[in-house]
Amino acid sequence: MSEEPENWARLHPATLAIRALERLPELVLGLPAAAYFIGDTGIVVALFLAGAGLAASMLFAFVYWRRFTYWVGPEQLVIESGIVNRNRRTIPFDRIQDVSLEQKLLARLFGVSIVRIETGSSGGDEGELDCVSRAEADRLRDRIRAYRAGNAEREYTVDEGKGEALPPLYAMDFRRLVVAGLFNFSLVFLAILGGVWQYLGSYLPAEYLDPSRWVGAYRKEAVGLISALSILSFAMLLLLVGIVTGLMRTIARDFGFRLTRTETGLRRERGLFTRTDVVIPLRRVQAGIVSTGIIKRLFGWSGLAVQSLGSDGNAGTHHEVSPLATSDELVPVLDELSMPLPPPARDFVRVSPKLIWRSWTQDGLALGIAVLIAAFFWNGWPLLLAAAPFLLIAPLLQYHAHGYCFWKDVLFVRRGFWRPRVTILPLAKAQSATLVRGLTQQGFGLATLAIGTAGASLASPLRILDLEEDTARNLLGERMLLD
Amino acid sequence: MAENRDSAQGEADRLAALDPRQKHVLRIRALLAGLVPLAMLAIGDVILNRELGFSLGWGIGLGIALYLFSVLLLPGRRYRRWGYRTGERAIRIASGLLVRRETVVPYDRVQHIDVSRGPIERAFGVATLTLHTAGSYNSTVDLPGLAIADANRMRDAIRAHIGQDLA
Repeated sequence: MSEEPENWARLHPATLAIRALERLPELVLGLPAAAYFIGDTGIVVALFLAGAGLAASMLFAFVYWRRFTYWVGPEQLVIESGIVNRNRRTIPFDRIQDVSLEQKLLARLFGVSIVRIETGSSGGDEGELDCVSRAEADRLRDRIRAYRAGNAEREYTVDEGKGEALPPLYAMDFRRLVVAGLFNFSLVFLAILGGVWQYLGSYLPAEYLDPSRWVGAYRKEAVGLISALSILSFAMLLLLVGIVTGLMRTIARDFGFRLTRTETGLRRERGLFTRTDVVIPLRRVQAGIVSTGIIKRLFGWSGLAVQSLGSDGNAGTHHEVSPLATSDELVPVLDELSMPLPPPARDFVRVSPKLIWRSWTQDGLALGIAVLIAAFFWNGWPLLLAAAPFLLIAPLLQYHAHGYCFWKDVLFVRRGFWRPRVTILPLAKAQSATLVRGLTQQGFGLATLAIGTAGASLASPLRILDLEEDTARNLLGERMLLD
Repeated sequence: MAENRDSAQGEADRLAALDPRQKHVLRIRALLAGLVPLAMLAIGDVILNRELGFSLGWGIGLGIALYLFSVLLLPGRRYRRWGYRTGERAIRIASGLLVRRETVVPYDRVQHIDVSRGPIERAFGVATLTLHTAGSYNSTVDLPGLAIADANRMRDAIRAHIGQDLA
């Protein structure tokens, strides 16, 4: 408050160019819509309107840019912004949890970067500089880090040089990237296609997109097309599309993946078009999740993510720190997190086999009720019975994939048959534990142990399902209290 | 260390019961909460009678039966399922009629503590102790039905624990 900063800085001027270029696609896509509404008077008016719109938004962006200033003080960052309502935000370096850099494709061309500053407070109180030059971004981050390192009474050598010298904890070369891409089979492409289809649909006359019209007009040809061969080749095409999409997405996201140690956390850089640079402070890591797939596992691959306390209070975040790695490659990363590698599956303690009977009872009852209700309204109710085989098999798979294991002060929980994953939870990070016994479980003498961890998604807390009640009570008493 | 070992034997019998006045709080809450469904069933009764020719009294009869059940029988049962025990390092809270829950919160994981009293609770001299943890599951753990003096004493005791751990 007392010291008035003397050297206010502005965002990089390239920000304006980026804004303009970002708006262009919207305009181009909007043109047909504008032309449609304006009708025959035509494209000239539409172009004029588009140009005026662009000019207005650029003027706004320019004024905003002029009025956006920041100042890096010895102990705080001050940001002043707002055209009419001036807002001055002071972020003390002490409160900064996380500084991350993000470079989208355009930003990379201009050599600028978005700086995001996350503070521990719940939402709202965060800072964003969009965009500054890469050098300025590095300078800002180094300054904050140096301050924090100095404050923690550690050695005050800015570790940028040191960091470069150290080999990364984990990195992906192109071959690894391709392997990861092959496992990330994805049909999201079809969803995008569907979206485009819908978008175009609002401009084209409706009957062009009505499949019944096409089938009606070419009925004979349509019937002829549906042969075993055509279905097969269609499936092959889908497979190919899925593989290619998975490859492209993975390469775009994880290109140049590098994980390094900084003095406070793990630094992850990745991305082909949008390059992100995130520091995950070790203090905020709550749990580790080693996940694999039923096929991936055969090749010995698995991925590691960490569950970290979110910057916005409760909503936690999962950060991928090694998307595809062998166990040997995971060890150095886990070492930094002070977490042990999960033991092999045979070392896990199974839950009660009554889990299977409990699920069958519960699912059977649910299915029975659904069938009863459906039988009143719907002739097709026997179709519901097709679910029965799945309901019979699922609990068997679930039982075989599920287990837990304690090692020193760490709890491992294993779950999932198709996508097996192990949660690594240092007990010091367990916030609470609850024994839950539903109606069916009471009948079987079973109990589920649910463990509250910070940063977990609300929908899926860490659970050990269907333990014998005594076992569960023992775990609750002995393990959770006496960490 | 050994003091927790006995926790494996039985649950409800080793846990302290809530203040008996909590039963009245639960009953009055049920009395009020049941009014809306009761009114809806009464309206439904009339509509079914006019539109579909059901004989009058089915809906309202069912409603009154459920209402009496929830006011006369349920509060006592729910009250009996509640229990708590303050150990040396953690508090254990049990509750739930159909789905039974037993939660353990170590004192050193408590972020902050509330003691709250609604109008009904005030009338009967009880309070609710709420523990906030950092976990997203169980981010708040309620222990209702404590005599106001007990609630304050427990809050101070837990707060003292938090202070110790920081020191």
